[in-house]
Amino acid sequence: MLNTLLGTVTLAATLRLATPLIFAAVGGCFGNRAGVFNIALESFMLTSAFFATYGTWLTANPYVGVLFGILAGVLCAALFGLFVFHLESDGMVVSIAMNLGAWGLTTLMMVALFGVRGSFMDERLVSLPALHFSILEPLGKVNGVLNDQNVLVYLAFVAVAVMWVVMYQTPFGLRLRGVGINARAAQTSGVNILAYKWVSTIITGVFCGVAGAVLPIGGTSVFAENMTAGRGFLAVAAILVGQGNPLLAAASCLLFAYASALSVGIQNLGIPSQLVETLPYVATILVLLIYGARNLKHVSKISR
Amino acid sequence: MDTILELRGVTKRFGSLVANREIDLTVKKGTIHAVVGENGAGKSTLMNIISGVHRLDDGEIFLEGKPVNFRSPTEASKAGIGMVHQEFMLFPELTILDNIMMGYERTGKLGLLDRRQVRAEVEELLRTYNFNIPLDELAREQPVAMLQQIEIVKILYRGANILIFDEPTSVLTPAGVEGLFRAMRFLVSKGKTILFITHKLKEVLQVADEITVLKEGAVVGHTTPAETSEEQMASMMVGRNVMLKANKLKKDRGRPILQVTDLQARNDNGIVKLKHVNLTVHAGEIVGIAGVAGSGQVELVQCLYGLRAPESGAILLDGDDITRASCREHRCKGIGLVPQDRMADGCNRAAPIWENCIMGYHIAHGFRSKWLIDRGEAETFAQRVVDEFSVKASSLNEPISSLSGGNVQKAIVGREFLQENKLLIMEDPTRGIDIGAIEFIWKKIEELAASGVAVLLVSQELNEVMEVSDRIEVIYDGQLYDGGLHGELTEAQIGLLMTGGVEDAAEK
Repeated sequence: MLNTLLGTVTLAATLRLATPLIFAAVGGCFGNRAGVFNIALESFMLTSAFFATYGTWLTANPYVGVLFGILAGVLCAALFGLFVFHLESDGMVVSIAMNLGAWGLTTLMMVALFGVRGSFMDERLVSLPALHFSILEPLGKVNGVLNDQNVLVYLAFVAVAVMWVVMYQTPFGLRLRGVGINARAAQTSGVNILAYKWVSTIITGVFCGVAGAVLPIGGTSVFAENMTAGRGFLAVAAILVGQGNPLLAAASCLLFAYASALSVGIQNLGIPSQLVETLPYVATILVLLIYGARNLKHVSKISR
Repeated sequence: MDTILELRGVTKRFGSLVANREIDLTVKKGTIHAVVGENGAGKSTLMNIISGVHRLDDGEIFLEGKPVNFRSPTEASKAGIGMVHQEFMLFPELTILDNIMMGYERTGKLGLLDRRQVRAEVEELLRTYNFNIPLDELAREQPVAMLQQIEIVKILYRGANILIFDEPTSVLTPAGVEGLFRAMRFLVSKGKTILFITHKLKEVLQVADEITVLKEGAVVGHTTPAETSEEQMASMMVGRNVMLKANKLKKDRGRPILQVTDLQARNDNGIVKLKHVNLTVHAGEIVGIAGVAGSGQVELVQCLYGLRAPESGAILLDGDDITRASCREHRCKGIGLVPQDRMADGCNRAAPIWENCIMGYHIAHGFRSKWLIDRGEAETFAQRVVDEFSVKASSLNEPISSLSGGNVQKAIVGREFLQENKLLIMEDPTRGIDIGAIEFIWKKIEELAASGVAVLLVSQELNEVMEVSDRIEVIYDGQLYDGGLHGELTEAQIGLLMTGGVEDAAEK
């Protein structure tokens, strides 16, 4: 049992599974903090996953794939921004439309470009390389968990640190948070609200682009219909739980990923697989419940 | 003393409304210059022009002798003009230090925030101007008086030489007001200049060096505290030609319908807006409440209608305790409301006229056969509203938003007047409608009261309160003061009560 809970395989899988969530959540934190209601992260990721596949397949170079993914993420973000900021559509409606649309679009383009349904595999679909650090070798279990992971796994943690600094230690981050807290006050301080909302949404797009790229070329070398399977929504949940703080959001992502990793390992213990597969979602709901309970005091104060 | 800011012929129009009309204003360096006037007199517009929020249509502004024309608050701020807004422009979830530097950060290596540098500068300001502010605490944990100090330090940090205070005392306790005045005098002694907007005349006499009085967008007087009195300023502020006369009917005052005892309530920001309010309205009586906006009228009506839970006190309707009753219960018990904001609270813009004409009464007074609304009955009633209150509408099925503001108001007034209510509460029932319609509504109010309905009229139009009411209460700073029976006090005396001159008026 303990071997499953804290085993090398489970922990290594946690890091691997957390990577797309972390990228999406860290980027999404910026939109969240700028006061942009965006739950279209799922569509940003799925579209990016497809174009990352396409870019890699065209050139047999996974880095080109990542670039394609980022480009697709930015385009999705631009579409979202166009509708929400300039055509003044409701963020919720645009998000739902994009999430449903992305599924249809990627499935259609799979047929059109690759001529397959369901999933796409090809020898030109090369994954990003794993990194090997020889200094970790004597460390036993730590080595097993941390070493030989995909390059994006390490980059995810670098991104968390860098974006935390951007959020809390730069004028840009301060103003961005100001826009989200009190837009009018930010305006009287000379901050261009629209510009900050746009930039924050584009940042969300870039990071969701990388997050999407992780799925097909982060080790598995396969693209499947609706490959994101709700990961964008998990990222949104992580952002809310982390209150837009990249560090806390990433921590939530790790928790969700751990639950997913566990559900893989625990199946060997004879627990019905249907039950086990609910684990990540049960964990998500539990975390959201605990997060919500913190606000209960606040709610009762308001409705007094 | 040198002139630091001079306005010549400044005019600002919003559509056909002239908010500021050829205003001349000379502000001397190192003085506290008060700009007083009623609500809607154009004080805030003028300050917004000076601080770059609005652009002027006509006229010139000279800052230290040089002509200026600010296109944004940022430009005004760079030129040394800063505004302490009535609602604080703060970020509750950020630290005070972050609040102060927002938009005017200092950066060090790699473009990162240099909080140490900002802290040094702010602490220097705190020492110079005698403030004591905990820079590392969150803004949301601070009391209101502290928030205001943060606002002041914020604009000083941005390099302001002219500080504009927009109604700064309205959110403060008496002790807080004392503190603010001390701070203002200290700032002036250090060479800063202060523009101080208010309608509280006592405070003007207490703290100002120069006074400019605005009325209906124009300057009507310039004076100093030594030369004037509260009464003189009040008559300058509110004195106007009485244009309309209400035809008072003889009425029999019946039993008490509305009884409010010792009511206390806070607004959404937790500030006490009603202080031990006692009020009785009898059947067949029109009680008018006069007061400058923000004195607690909004909270009073909200409490009376179940929209706000009072902290303490009791509200009785015809003997029933309705202190904690819901809006729906209020409607069912026979209380009508003409809300101040007709579009936001008085109607559903998207709904057709007939729906709006029964809205709120769909349960209380029928219009319902069993489960469905009785369209026939509803439309008959709606037609009555439209006919009797001469609402200009082409069809009852048109959305109410297709009507002009005045016609919407007539429809809402009609809806409330034609129901058999015991008590009718009205907030500014004649706002934005033409004189003929005002006279008509006044007549209807009289008839309604004569038929035995208790009427509570809350209005910002002093003239309306004085003409229509049988008895006048004046609200100032959350407390009610006796404004006498109809015609007992002069407009100037009531104006004085409205602006806090309680003792003086009571002597008369």
